[in-house]
Amino acid sequence: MSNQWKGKINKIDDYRWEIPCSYKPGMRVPGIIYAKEKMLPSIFADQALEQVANVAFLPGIVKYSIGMPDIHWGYGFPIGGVAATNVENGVISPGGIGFDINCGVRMIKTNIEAKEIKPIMEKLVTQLFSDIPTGIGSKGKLSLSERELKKVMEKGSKWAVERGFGTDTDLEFTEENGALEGADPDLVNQKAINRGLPQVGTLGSGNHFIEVQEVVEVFDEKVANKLGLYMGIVTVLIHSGSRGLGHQITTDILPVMKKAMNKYGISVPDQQLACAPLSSLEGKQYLSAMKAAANYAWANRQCLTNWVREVFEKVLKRSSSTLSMSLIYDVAHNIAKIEKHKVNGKEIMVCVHRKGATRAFPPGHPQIPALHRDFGQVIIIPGDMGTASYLLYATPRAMEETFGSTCHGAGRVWSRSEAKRRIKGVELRNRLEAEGIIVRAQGMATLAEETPEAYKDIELVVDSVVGAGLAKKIAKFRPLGVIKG
Amino acid sequence: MLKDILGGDVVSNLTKFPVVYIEHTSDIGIRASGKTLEEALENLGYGVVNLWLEDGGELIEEREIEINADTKEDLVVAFVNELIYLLEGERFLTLKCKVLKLTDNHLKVSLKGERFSPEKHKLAIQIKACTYHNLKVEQNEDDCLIEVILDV
Repeated sequence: MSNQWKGKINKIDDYRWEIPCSYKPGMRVPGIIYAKEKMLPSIFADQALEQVANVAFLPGIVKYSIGMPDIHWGYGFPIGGVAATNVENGVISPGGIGFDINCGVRMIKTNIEAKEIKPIMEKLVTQLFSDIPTGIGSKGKLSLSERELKKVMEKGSKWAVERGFGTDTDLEFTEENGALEGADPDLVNQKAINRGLPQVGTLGSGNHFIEVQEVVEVFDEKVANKLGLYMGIVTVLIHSGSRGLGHQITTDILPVMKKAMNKYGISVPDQQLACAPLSSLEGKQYLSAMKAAANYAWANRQCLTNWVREVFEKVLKRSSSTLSMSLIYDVAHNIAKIEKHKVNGKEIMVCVHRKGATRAFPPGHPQIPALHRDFGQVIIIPGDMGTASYLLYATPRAMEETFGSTCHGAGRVWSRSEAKRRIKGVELRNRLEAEGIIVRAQGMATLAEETPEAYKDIELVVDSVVGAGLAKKIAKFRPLGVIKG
Repeated sequence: MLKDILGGDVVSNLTKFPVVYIEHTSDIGIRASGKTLEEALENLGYGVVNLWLEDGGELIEEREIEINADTKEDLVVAFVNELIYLLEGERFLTLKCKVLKLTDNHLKVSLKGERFSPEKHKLAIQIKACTYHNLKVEQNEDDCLIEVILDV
């Protein structure tokens, strides 16, 4: 690609690289990139590092503007970016969350052996594809009133569980128990409601997917067994977000933020970084609306979980509790959170923006499930649909260095158009099927966009965060079947 | 159709000014030009529709949209976002745009299209929103250019 970044970085160690403040006048803190040296060419191939430097301009940013190894060029923030701003004098930037608020991923385990399911994989994937609403413009199975939608935005996953779409244990194994406090649905305008109303319990399109996988490698047997994971068993990954509701909230807040920047005398190098002080009315209102969208996303993934369980029951003719289909964890990877972190030896409240980055809280942290407290919060790292995904757990070092954050996936290297030019959807489907991976997608073009070659090497991404000491490996998963919108 | 048009190739010769798609790692950009800003906006609308549709549609329904904003740049972003909203929020699929009025902070556009139906219209891509990232609105004496990056 001709869009090579021309700046320079300083090596800190084998896994850490610094963009000094001197790179661009106006940077308030340095940038830091977590990556193995081998990953640098792909990271330099686009303007992601320029965006790391731009994020460092945000008022109130503390310590570093952080880039994870899966970093790539986004709009405003890079995807794979983390930034924490002081709640006292810092800003919140919707660009640091993204349009798909609380896009995230959850893993469901089963007690089914992969060898048992492989002969009926095609039937299972076809059933998932026909029973779960996917694709652009698809409507969910639920018909909700606007009043009910407000409850979705207030209660998140709990709303779905109350409707019978899950269990209390599901809530225990969801980040924030599936709902952020302080969501204000009244700040969500009619346009966002109109977009969100028909989409509760829909997968969406683009890079969203549901994947049936098998455990192919266990790195930490003690932790894996504690979570109920064993070699050769089947797991399911669900990747989706807040759909049109979140997109519209962000769309409508950006002009408000642009005005707020004038009002509060803030200047940033990219308009998409538009922001407002966390203490301002604009900042507070965005945070409350963002929480409403985040809760919608958790309810959405909870509904999808229910449809997945129903499909397994239908195809395997056993109840989901007999199949032991419980949640391993649900993590958000596009979100802002008000959290307590140590900065320069002092504990302060910060707003952690995680844009294409996963929370990674250490062992013993009160906000993680009791089951994770002995080892550390579980982190789900989905790879592309042809290779592998990883389950990791967080270390105390992530809390010390990256505001309790780590990477979120493989990260793109090819643009969507480049993927489509190089790969034909039908050929890709045939190739994956030859490798034993059954794929169903709404459009062959969308499928081609998500070809494995369009992504960075997941092994390198995971090795980078593990090498840097931010996380440890639990297990590796190989896809068996994928549905895409 | 989509496979032939992505990657910087010219897609429209509606006027002598083309619509071009711009490479971006995770998103898609559109560069639309025209003799006037009105024409560039109409071409931008065409660029959006062309990303959505694999096959054509029918010009059955007509709508008018009015947008007020602080600057021309804001009007451009709001215009694309309105097309996206109409599709998802009101299930109106825009196929053709005609700018009726454009000032520094007001835009009135006539849209022709039809009711969106996932069975009838196989959309090639979901556009989440139009961003402000690398946004360009240039008005020269004899041509105008708009560049936007869409989150897809």
